[in-house]
Amino acid sequence: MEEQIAELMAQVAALEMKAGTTNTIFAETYYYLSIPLMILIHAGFLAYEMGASRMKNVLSSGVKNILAFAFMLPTFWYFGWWIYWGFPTGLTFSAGPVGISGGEYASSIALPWVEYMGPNIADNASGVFWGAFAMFAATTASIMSGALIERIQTVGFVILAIVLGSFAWVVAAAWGWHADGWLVTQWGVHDFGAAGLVHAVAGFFALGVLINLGPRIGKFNDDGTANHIAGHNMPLTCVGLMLIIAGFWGFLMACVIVPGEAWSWYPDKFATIYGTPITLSALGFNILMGMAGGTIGAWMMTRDPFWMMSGMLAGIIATASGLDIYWPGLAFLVAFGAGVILAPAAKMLERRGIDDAVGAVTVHGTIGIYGVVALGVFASGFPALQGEGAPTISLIGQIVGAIVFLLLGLVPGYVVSLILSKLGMLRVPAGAEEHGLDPVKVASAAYPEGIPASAAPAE
Amino acid sequence: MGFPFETADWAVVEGAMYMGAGGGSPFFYTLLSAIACVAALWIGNRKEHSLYEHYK
Repeated sequence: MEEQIAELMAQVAALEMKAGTTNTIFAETYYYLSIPLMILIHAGFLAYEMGASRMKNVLSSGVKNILAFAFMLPTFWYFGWWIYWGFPTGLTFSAGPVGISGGEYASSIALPWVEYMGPNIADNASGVFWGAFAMFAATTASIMSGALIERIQTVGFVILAIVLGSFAWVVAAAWGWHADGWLVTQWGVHDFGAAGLVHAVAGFFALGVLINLGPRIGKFNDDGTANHIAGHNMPLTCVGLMLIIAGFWGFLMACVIVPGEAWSWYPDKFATIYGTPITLSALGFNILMGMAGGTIGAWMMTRDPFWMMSGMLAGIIATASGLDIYWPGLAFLVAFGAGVILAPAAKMLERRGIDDAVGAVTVHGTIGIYGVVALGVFASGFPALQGEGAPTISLIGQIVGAIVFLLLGLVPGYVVSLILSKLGMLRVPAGAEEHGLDPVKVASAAYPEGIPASAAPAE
Repeated sequence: MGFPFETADWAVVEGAMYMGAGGGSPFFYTLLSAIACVAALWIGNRKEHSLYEHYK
């Protein structure tokens, strides 16, 4: 009998070990696969802004987007990841209530030369988490990139991208997207899918840069009225937007904490980064309904495929803060509202002399803020964080969060671009802009044989 | 720990398995790579400005 019990115990132990291994492999694979999905976002932004550029600037727009992605990865490895773990309680670098923050903790896990920041057989989490966050960082740079096309210097832009992607949004994430973040613990800020801390920060950072960068030559007339500067390839732009949207499924998937690991919130269910429960099915319902609402709202207002596709993206952004708890019908309505206000909000910005070439400030900045505040309207009273006595979501808390996110984008964007402008590193010379940036500084041509026009139909 | 050259067997490795683990070289390579990034930006900026010279 004792032998049988011992044998049974050994079998249970073996099964537990196998189950644990399977769970660990699932968790690591889950985040690993979110990375190439998020790279689709960058393929999308690349196509989007190259399509929105005139033929003389196509590759120049692409080069700066590619470079921003490349510089984001090492700089996020050098200091961005440390900032996320070091800053949650503010500027004190002290540990928060959950105990996974502060300068000492960050230095033990996130300095680039510690054992968790490279290949480690005992650590199946750090690399894939870091990779997913690095993709969030690169997304912020890509959001800004499109707004500035056809007149910004390449290296100046890369410096701005590093400040945004490896510093500004990371501070926002530490404060509002971390269980120890002071916006979460003190104000109950809830921003599951990063409408505020990624989109609004990036959108308003772009606005800060645009104020110093100025409009493209020919954008505004002497009387202040605006001219439409059409990109050379609207289909490429629309396909780019669809790729961005596909990539955002990876982005939102990576916002989920999988169960069953030592660092998980639960042994048996998915959680948000705040430890509140979520399912991938919730994302299935609400992302799709948000996409539909934003598209239909924008179509109703503009009938323009550019704004329809932007509306689809705006629908996701508008609902991102509460994708875990929206009812799909409400998600549709919130997204529909975003689609409706999208084009008028962009026009309003244009009337103030801001030349945002792709509407990034509106789609990501304005709609990001709208999404954060909308959750405060509809979800007040829901727990913002897991645990007894956890703070709850409130309209005031969401408004405070929205203001902080806006300022974390706008202020560094304005200040750093002003410094770059003083150093002569922000805007290209007028002669180069008029000639076209591709022939001035790109070593290859986008269309060396031109684009043949359609043949006239036979008479 | 890196690779245990004494035993030449990965089976005994239970933690860090990269080159130079536990020593000073990870910091050194981090520093060098950061310098490479700064140098690339510096050189890239100088080159970019030289290309703008004809259009000022």
